[in-house]
Amino acid sequence: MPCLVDRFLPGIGEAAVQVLRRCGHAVTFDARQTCCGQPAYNAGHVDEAAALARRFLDIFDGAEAVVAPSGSCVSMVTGHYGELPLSDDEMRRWSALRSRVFELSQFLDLHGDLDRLDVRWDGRVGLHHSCHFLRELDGAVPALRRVLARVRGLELIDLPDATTCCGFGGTFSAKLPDVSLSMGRDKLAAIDAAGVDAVALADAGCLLQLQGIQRAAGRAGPRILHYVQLLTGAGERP
Amino acid sequence: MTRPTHDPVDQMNAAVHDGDLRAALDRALGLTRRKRADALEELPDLPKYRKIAADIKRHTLDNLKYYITRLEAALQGGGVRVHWAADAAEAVATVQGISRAAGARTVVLAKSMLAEEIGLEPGLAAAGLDVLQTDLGERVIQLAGDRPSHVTAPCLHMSAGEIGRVFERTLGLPWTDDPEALSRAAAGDLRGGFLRADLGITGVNLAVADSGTLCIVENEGNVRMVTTLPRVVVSLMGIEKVVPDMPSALHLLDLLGRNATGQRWPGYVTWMSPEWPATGPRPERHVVFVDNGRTRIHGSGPYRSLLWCIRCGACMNACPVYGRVGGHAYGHTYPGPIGAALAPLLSPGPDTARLPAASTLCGECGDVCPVKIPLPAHLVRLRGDAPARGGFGRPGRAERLAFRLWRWFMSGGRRYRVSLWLHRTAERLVPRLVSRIAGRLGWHHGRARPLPAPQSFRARWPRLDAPPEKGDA
Repeated sequence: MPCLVDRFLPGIGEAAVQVLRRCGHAVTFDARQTCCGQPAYNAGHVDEAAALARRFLDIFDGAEAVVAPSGSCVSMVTGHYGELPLSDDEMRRWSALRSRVFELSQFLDLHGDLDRLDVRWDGRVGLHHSCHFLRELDGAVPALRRVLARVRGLELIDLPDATTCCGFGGTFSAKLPDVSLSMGRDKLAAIDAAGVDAVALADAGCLLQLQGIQRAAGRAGPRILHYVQLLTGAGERP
Repeated sequence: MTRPTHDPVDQMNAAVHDGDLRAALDRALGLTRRKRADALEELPDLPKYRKIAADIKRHTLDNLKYYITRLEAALQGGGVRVHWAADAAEAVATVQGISRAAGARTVVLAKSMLAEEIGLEPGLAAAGLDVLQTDLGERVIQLAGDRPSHVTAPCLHMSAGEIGRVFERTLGLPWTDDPEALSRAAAGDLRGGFLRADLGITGVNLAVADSGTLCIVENEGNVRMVTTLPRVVVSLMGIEKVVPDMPSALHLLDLLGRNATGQRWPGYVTWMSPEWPATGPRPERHVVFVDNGRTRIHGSGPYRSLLWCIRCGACMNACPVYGRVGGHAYGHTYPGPIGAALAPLLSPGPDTARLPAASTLCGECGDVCPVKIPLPAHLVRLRGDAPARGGFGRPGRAERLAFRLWRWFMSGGRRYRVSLWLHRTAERLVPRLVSRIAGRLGWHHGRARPLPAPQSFRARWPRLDAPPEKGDA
């Protein structure tokens, strides 16, 4: 479970569990898990990131499949772990594990019994392509589209500049806050102009960035949701 | 550590509020992005095109010594004099020496980012030469006393109206913002300079190793003048510009114009073989191979692919950060994602130390790069690699401490739960303190900080886990 979800957005985690179970899978959560190390890696603290990568390997080595509702955590584990200063043995364990680590939508698309999803969400939804989900995971966007196509009543809208970053970028949001905010505001303006009921994205970071700007502006725009909230109907309009 | 005189991160946080700059960037970049997309759509198999381009660059840079030696021999065989310059000072001194020996007084300069990198224009002016930039954009920059803000469009940050004011002030042209009138005025002003010039200086886009042919790309025809009118012609090239043969050069050229300006082919492509021109008087020709940090990057291994860059500017045109702060905020010859990675290696120091932070790692730059330089990967690596940058760019003590603390809290299930509890409790008891800390971390006005949920996912898990889901049946 992404640490941002655990801490700030547990509803996304609950929705992920619910959807996986409904699509025919048994789900467990190992409470020893913390963070995959991505924040440290992206900020250039490789030793700290490597420590958490080792921890991740220890905890998840035995799992049949590891599934997370996050493009960036999954790309960290399946891709960037390979660039960390890990021992040969750890690298071998990583190579064995990485093919069993999935982003939730990829996993549902490949192994989920989507006929059992049976969910309805009436409204127009714009898809914001979270950067790592879009660029670092092969075939994730088409997989997500196929999964969302199973939601009755949901109309997917292509947003303008859908592939442009929301401006979060981890420590970027703190180091270049003015630039980060400008990117987020532009993203929200494009969303507002698109006339959608909600925006679905694939990473908690984008979600916190866009919701944070909406909240500070004190006005309700289209709802910013994680896509998994559409799969349970949890993100229903108020 | 020395304090930076120009901290790029501070500059960027300020530049993003400049509305005029943003308008100029939106106008120019919006158009370039559309044209680029159209020009690339025509290619039958873009991924393959890019892969071939990357393969050419990888192969050449992995065998740089072989190809640069071949190029040198081909040039010398045709009577072109070759000079090697280890750094900027040596490169400028070499050109000064050539101009002194030739008794030159007026120098015409074609657009060259390398000339900008080594500070050639001020260097020649200091030697008493009359130096004229002949590329329209560069001429505007020269007259304005400004610096280029983009590798292919030097005055991208200026509106036509601003250029009109520069020309009004320096050329006495009545103010206008009509681009055609402005370029006519600049061309008229340059004409005398071309006829007067005894020394012409160009950059090099591609240098063909097996024949010694240099390729220079432009859109105004000024390179033709710079290479044909003066008695002496000097071409400056970074050693990474060499390619094995003509087919490689043509392949890269096909991608260069499309990626830079959305042109199928640049307006003018000048090819200068060592034997050129076949008839008529031949100018005295010199080529200066400039290193200026390139062999260091080449030898460093992980950063070698930064030398594949063909300076098309597509990464900066695509970058959402560049598109909001412009080129000047980077404070280096090379802005945008390629600059954020290259500058700290070419010019290690306090002014380039924080450049690799100037990216959300969104990956657009890597997506558009025609030679597939993994720019986000370079930026991440550089953030943690102070040694490769002459010791600069080490994260500050507070940040190092914060990540060490963070690691401690993340290295055990119980510690992690304590961190959740501390966070929640702090938000409940001293929200204003948390707000101040979050503000110091950049989450302030305009963006509400996220609040920890009353119950974390792990606190909810036992309840989720207990009754097996019934809806399955």
